Amino acid sequence: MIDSRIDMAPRSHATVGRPFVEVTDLKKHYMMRAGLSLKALDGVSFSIREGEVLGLVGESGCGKSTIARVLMRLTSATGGEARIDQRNVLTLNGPDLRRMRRTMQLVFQDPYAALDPRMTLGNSMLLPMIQNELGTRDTLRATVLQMLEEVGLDASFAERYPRECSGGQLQRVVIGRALLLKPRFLVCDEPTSALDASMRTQILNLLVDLKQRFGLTLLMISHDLRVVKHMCDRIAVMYLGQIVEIADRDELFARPRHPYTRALISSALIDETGLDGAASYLKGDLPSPLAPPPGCRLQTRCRFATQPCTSEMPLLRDAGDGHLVRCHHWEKLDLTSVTYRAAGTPDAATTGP
Amino acid sequence: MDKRLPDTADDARPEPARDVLLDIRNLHVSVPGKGSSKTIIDGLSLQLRSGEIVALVGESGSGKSMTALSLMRLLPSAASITGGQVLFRGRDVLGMSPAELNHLRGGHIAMIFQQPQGMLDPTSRVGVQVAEALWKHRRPDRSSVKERVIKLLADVGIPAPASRIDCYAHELSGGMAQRVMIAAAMSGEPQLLIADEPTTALDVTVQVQILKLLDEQRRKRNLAILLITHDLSIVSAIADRVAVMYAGRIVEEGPAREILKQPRHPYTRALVQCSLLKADANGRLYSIPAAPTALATGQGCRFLPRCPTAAANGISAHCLEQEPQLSIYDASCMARCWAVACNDHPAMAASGTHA
Amino acid sequence: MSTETALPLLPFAGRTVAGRPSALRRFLSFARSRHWTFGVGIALFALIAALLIAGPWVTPYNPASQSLLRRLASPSAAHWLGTDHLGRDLLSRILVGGQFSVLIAMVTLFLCVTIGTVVGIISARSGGWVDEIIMRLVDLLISFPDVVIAIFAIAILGPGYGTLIISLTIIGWTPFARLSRGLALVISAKEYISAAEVLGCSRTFIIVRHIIPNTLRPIAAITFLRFGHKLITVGGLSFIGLGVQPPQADWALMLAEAQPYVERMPLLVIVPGLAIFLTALSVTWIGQGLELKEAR
Repeated sequence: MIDSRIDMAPRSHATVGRPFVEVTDLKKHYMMRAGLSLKALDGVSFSIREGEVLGLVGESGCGKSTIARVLMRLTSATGGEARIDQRNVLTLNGPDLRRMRRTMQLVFQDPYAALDPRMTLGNSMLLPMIQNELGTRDTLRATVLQMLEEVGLDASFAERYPRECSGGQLQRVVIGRALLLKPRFLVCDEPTSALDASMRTQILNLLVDLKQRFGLTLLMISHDLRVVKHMCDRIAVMYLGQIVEIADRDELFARPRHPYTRALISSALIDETGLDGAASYLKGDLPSPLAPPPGCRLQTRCRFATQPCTSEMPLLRDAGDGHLVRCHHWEKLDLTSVTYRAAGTPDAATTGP
Repeated sequence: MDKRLPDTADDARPEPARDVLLDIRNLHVSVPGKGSSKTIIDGLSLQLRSGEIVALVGESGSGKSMTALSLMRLLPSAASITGGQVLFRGRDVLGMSPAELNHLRGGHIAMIFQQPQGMLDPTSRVGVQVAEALWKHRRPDRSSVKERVIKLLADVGIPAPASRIDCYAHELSGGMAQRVMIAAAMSGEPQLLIADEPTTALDVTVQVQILKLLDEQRRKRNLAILLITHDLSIVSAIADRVAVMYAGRIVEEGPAREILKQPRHPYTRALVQCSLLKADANGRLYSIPAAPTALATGQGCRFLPRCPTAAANGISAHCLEQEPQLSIYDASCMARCWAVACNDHPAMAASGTHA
Repeated sequence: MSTETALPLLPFAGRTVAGRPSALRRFLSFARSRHWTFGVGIALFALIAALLIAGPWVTPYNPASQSLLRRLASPSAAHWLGTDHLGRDLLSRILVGGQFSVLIAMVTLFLCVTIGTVVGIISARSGGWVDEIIMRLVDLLISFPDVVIAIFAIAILGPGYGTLIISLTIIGWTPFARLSRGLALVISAKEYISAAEVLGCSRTFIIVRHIIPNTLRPIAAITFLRFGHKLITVGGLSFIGLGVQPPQADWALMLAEAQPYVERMPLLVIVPGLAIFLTALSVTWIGQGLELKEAR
């Protein structure tokens, strides 16, 4: 992609630490029938500083879970680089890869699916450690019990099977199992979306605690803006395989620059914005990712789309202070106070620069 | 204090108004097992009026979906209705013959589900499926069927409906498929729509569109909607009234706005706080405390083992000994809590400060 | 009870941390959770197995001793089930005659399951050309008639039980390879396999600790269902003279030898036929019961 260089997250914005994770121009294309290719990731770049929590939001099919799978080497990338602690994980193989895996761990969306139904929770936590040669069964048993306590469960859970536990309890086990390998980078792929509301807050609190305790760098993938808003320092918004906006959390919620971000925010907070407000930003459905529209990917749904949007792909541009936005109209749109009136009259809502 | 205990066994409930469309009275559903049977809906009463959206809220396992299925007599074979009445326009659904039920389903009560694509037949065209629904209930002119299907599809906001009728379900996005389901549901011109988590499988930006569509249909057709959901933000955006379920019972019911703004039942309060995901001064999210030990709750309040109010203020004898009834507060709201039933209960003070 | 189960979030409610129940207790409660055919199948098979094992000691006569004076005798106090065309006691021959077929069926089945499962899982996990070659080989063997392979094997190795087992195994492992490959592909797509990969577990570990335990139950069920089929194949091969050799007593061989006398002495066919049928049925029921949960 032509805009790959501009896609780089700015380095000047380092406040927390040096970039610990640097993803550059990451691409993942799936070859489909009849020569069609599905561009699940189409030149994605971002960086996460050490100790930072980056949120990745977007709707289904935007590619956010593909990022997790590519970073974890569960699937190969078509192009690009992903450096974690200076090493490009996409080119590692064999023993190097296995050693690297300890540094980066994944928390899955559905804890029931992420645990072997025929293995006790204790073994699910213990055996990977033995596989990584972190000790013997006897010495590690105590470590497992200690970790169970750390994630708020008692020792009896070591003997249980997944079917004997609730989703929230299992998610604690999944998190504990990942942390036992002492990772420095944790990717959480929708860690709470399979859980009930009361469980969700417990798991989020736990993640905040453990992040502090273990000094983790986090990538929080979620479709739920409330979760991301609570957890993250910075937020990246994805749409159809591209990042459309990245900004600090407070900046993003106070001054969203991309119409899609604006729509997401008001849809997620419908209890505050009301149905009419929320439904006014976007029209229609996600187009097929197999045939994304030319020009701006959002043009088929965006109320503000004009001529350049239909033909020219906007670049990810710096709107100041590390706030990146991929929209032709970002300078003209004032989305903070926009109250949309009726379909087809975008001029009424925009204010000139 | 004991004198204030209500002496009747029945929940306090105003006399049903005349325009009640659906009147669920003391519904019991249980799953018979070996030896003991498990009650999953325990004495549920709820009323819906025409043009009203009532949300039934609860966490997984609270019995909200089972309630919806029992209204349509569509319970899985393992579960059975063991008591109560479901009056639809004064007639008991539970006593209806198969023919009457067939007429009721779709013709008077329609239902939409969480996974619209799963509910559409993958092998037949969308237009045909909507036409089938139309045909079953309205016996239109053969010549006008296509026209009416297109009108129905246009009515639920499907762009270029004339070209969409030849699509198969897999060619539709989730949002479009849910619109088609709504069109098929509306074809019988029902008075009541049961929507079981209609937007849970959809993306947020599509979710608001579908909710808006449901709201429009309600206004246009004076439709009553029973909305089953776990998402309180949906409730506050669209519902007129809300009933909160816990362990097979309604624990709080009333106008959605008031209940969500100032819930009285500790469970509702906890649920509202959990859903908002707003951190306190220490950056912590509110979570319902887990009970340190299982309390024997055979007779007492079902929420007691997790009740934050009881945990903070001590467990009263009432809470342990007898399950509270739904008692009216603020004229239009009801809550199943001793703190609401007895105004001088110690928990009452806490609820005042909490809210 | 109802209230407790409806409280999904109580963390430790109703759980004693005491040890798990004993193996026998666990088996009994498992059997009770299955379809009734499981228990009946096990009981029936246990009875047959006991009779076969005890056979040599409880037979009233030497199953091979002939007495031409008492050919084709009807059931009597001396010979409960009568005698065959050579005057041998039918009851004694039935009690002994299952040993070989049942044992051979069991041994071959064990070999088939082991080889088939391992090959199938390796095929699924390797993918690519390894998978391709193995699956084409399986296709090839499946489309070959059993008897032809058996005849080839006997022509090369000479007749005998070893040959019988080898030829039956060559034919028999393929369905298990197909099944376990399919199961392994399904399980490989599960998230806990991805989790194990992310956690840095080795390929062998994933196969041994995750895939095999999760394929075991369905494979066991099919194994039991195939047992009857195996027993009948052994019988069939004996029937055409490729299996158990006379004068050894064998159910299928007894059927074959009784052919000319069906009309004079129907018991000669009915009894061994029934023995094969009941043995096959009992094992099939065990397999069926493993697959089906108890009917409500």
